[in-house]
Amino acid sequence: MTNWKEVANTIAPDIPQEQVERVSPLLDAMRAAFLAQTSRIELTIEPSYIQAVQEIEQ
Amino acid sequence: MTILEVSAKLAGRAVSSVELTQQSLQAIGQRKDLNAFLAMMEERALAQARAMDAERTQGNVRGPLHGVPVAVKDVFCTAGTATTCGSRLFADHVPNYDAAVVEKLEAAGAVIVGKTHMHELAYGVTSNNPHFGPVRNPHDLNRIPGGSSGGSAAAVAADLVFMAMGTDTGGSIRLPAAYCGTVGIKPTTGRVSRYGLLPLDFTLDHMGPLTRSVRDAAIVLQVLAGYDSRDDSSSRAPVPQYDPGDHPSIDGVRIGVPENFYFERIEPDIERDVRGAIATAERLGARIVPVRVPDIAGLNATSRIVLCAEASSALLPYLHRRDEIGPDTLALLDQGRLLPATDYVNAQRVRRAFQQEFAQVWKQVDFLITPVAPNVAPLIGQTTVDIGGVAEDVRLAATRFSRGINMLGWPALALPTGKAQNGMPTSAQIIARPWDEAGIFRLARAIEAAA
Repeated sequence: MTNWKEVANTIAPDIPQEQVERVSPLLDAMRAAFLAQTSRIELTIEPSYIQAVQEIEQ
Repeated sequence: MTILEVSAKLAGRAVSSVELTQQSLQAIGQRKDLNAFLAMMEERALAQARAMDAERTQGNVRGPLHGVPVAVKDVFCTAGTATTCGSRLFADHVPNYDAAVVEKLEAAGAVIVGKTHMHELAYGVTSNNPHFGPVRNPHDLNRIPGGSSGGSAAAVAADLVFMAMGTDTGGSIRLPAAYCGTVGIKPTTGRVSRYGLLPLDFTLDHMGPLTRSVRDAAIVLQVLAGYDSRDDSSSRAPVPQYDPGDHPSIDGVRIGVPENFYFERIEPDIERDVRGAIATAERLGARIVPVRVPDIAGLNATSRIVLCAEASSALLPYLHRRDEIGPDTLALLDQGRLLPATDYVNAQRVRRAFQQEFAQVWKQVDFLITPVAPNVAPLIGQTTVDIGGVAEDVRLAATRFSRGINMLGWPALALPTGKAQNGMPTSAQIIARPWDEAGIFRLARAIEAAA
């Protein structure tokens, strides 16, 4: 599991430690559900989020 | 009464726009128990109503919205009237310009009477706002109206206005429409300009009307749709005629009914009513096609990463004011700040893969019909729901069937289908390929007319 307190200390030190403790399990659960999806992507030269929006224009 | 009905009364001089506007303002004042509004625009509304009456006297009628009282969610900028997004962060935010949606509604003759209440920062589905109190469901004041456009749904369902605008990032038009028994459409991405919208999310936000009939929704979308150079996600795709008329034919259209995911773990009354709507469509000549849809749960999981990262990015300049943000919203915003950048980029890449996978559905069918949500409106303050013996977070349960559609950009409409045994509304979701809002309106109107 990610040490979210360490991450917060580095990139968002204004988030209180007790808040980090509160959201850590939520973050872990959200990421776990997402990371299971990343097998769908292959190494490509694609894109940015802009293309995701433009996709439906086609 | 619908927009079309009141428009006929206005045309026949049975009532004036000023009288209608005064009635609407009075009705809103009498239903403060709903807590559906954050700000009123009485002076501006009456001025617009007087102008519309004068124009009508001169024989100039702008269209079916001419002189009709409506409302907009408090995320749309209104010159001279506070636009708070249901947040203390924007309590003093008084824009000096109108959102494109506001401009277009008023240009079509609509009278905007006020700004509707909502979930804090549009970041949630309960509309139980920690700063301005909960919005209440007109069908049961102890229940939520859904969100984030909860005030808009409550105002339309309680007959306070003829239409109210909402926004939808993961179901925030469709869900309150479903919980309050109104029609609500989330159009295709890029169909309605975001100019002047206080954003929650850069790639998932959509704007659309909540109304008391399908034809009303079509009439309003007709006014709103179209290219706007001030919004770089605005589409140049042509805008067709949306009004389906009273009795459109749906003979031969192919309706996909998902065999997986959408009818799993739902309340029995919801399943009965949604399947009833499907049976009605079949009786009217539609062809029902069982389909298996790709991994919606995976799409939802990916959507949460995109939303979390983009919402925190959009609101980052305000996040040092932690004391002015409610605890649930702050928890989501803090999570977004901690997510690795690689997660966000990969979520967008997975999104593309999903878009390609899901596009295959439209080779088999023209529409999907599903429930909007697995449950009827929960009680205010309820944090979990138990459906089929499984306890689930209220927020995740409510958006299970709507959230992923925003990632795909597809249009989707919430259509009232009846009431559960406890008297709360049930609702079907009609989903179509990009840009086929006209098809959605035809199908929805056909079912509505036959009901």
